[in-house]
Amino acid sequence: MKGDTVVIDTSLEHIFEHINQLPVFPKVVFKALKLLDDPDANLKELADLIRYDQGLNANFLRLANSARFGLSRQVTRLDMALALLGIDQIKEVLLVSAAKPYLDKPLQGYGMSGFELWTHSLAITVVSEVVSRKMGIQDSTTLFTACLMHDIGKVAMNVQIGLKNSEILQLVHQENVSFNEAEWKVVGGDHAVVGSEILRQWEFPFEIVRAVRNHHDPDLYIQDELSLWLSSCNTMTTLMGLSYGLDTFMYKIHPDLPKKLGLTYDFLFDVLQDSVIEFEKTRDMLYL
Amino acid sequence: MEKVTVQKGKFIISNDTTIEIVTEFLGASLAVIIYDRVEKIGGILVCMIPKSLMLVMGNDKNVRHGLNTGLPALFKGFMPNSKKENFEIYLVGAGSFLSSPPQFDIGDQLYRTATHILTKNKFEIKGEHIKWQINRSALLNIESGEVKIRLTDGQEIKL
Repeated sequence: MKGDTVVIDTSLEHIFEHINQLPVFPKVVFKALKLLDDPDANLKELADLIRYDQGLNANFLRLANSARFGLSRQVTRLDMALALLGIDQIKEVLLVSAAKPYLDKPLQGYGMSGFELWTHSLAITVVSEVVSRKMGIQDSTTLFTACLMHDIGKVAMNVQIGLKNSEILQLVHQENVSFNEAEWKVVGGDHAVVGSEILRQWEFPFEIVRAVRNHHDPDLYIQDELSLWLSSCNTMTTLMGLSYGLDTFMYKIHPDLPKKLGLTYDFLFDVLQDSVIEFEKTRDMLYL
Repeated sequence: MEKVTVQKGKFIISNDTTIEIVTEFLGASLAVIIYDRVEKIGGILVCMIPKSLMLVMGNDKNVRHGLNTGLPALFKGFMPNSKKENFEIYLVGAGSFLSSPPQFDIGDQLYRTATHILTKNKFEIKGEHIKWQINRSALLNIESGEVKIRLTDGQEIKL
């Protein structure tokens, strides 16, 4: 109606109150992941669990046949796809398939298209895999999951940030504060804290919740290894040109981060180069 | 106009005046753009790292160049048709964080390395759009030699 004014509550309390409006992360994925961690379980049980999820079924077949996995023959059955992919790759497909509906949404508030958010979310998982391989990280799935879900808070904060983003950018430029510091000043919280609350409510493991909470805060991420690796992977993804939107590069990196993780120049160059090559092979996943 | 995309660590040189050479979003990578206005030949090299981690053998298409191998290969690609005095050189990219330890300031390392090599070899840089908290891509029109910068919000800037 003419003359009506719509008032949007931009407070953090309001954002937290409405987090539960997001559809809950599918429980079948957690069940499948748990099954995969059980040494006595077999792939038939897994196939039985996910067989009736048409989306998952199709994604396993599409990815088993994609360039990424480099299989020499056409895979047409779910049990064949599972047998060929290996445990870590099955976990990745499960997580990526379940995450996509949340992470391919346009975020006008942050100046990103849905495709860009999804591209960034996948690209950082590729970096995490390269890092895990080169550093011999045992629990690569935990880092992979933290990386995949790290920007989920942006989905919940999109509208509020959209109303305040010029104020946030002004603070970044005038006071030389990072984008997340400016988010705190303007709306009383950042996408990291909101994202961690979403993951807590979805019952993700505590260490992932904590790493997502910490990933842009140098004073916090310097304190535990998963947070350090998540922040490093995010940083490298930005260096690769695979971060988009208003906040790209508008962060501060802790000066001791490379020392804490033993990152040398050559290691970083190696990870960046391999990640770019791996990401080019992973493009099929963008179109799940 | 057909667009031909340069992958990171690679270069493209062309005298096809019906195309534009474009980069992907560069992040901290540096695009070195060369245009020979007399011969209407243009090329873009995109480097992610200052020094190559791969052994560069002949014309291996799988090679990903660092600046140390990419710049000589790029200049070599213009020979024997082009003359040094006809080159117009542009540098684009090298985005950087608000603050970071030097290991993560790869854009700065790339920019300093490139300007050092070019200056030492008496090449003049005609234009640049580098550093800051910007993720951009570059476009080179082979017909006109025009260089444009595209930002992630779709905005284009003529260099």
